[in-house]
Amino acid sequence: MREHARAAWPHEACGLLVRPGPDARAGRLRVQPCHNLAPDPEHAYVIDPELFLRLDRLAGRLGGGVIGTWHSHPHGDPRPSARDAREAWPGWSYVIMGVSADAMTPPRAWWRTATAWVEQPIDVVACAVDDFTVPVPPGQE
Amino acid sequence: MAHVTLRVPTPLQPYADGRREIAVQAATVNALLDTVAADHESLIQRIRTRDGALRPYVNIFVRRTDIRELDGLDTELHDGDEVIVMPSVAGG
Repeated sequence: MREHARAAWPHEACGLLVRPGPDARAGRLRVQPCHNLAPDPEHAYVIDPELFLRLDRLAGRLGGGVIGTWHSHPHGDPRPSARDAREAWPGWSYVIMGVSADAMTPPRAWWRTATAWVEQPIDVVACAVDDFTVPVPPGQE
Repeated sequence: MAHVTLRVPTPLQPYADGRREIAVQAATVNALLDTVAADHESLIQRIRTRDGALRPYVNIFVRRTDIRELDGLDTELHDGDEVIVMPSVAGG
């Protein structure tokens, strides 16, 4: 996440948080970096819908699923923006890192309820994070 | 009417009693949504507006094609079709 966020600056970096198995506590949380498809990537991110769908299906077969996203804020504030609130899915987790030209804040994690953000301890959300590469199905390379 | 499967991705599963897919008989996408609304009204409220239009941050794919490139909610369904609801995953 950090490398992706640093490389993407001054654009927003983004990705998905995946629970690859049915047990929310024992399973390792995995991170999938994604291309940012937003037309204004300095201020927004849009996850590739086909990648999301593929990953959601793959994790679903294992009893898990996509449980949230992570992204960077190139203005340096790791708190949810107004646009984050507008487009957030209730029940999902959102990890945000603030990035500037020469610094990066620690990531902060936010759980979205129907109406508000609740900050989560980062060790619960991001412990044992590693990369999760998605096999591309034949014919979709 | 065609026998089709509605795929429900994780952000919308809480509105579908946790189900990942729902088997439906319907002739069009709109008819499918009407049928599903009988049991999962809150799910369909997140897909269609009160006026019956597709919500801007939601896409629906039939036969791997966005229905906005077909006949929209009037897109006809065939036996075995997979109808995928694809919410926008985005922020700022």
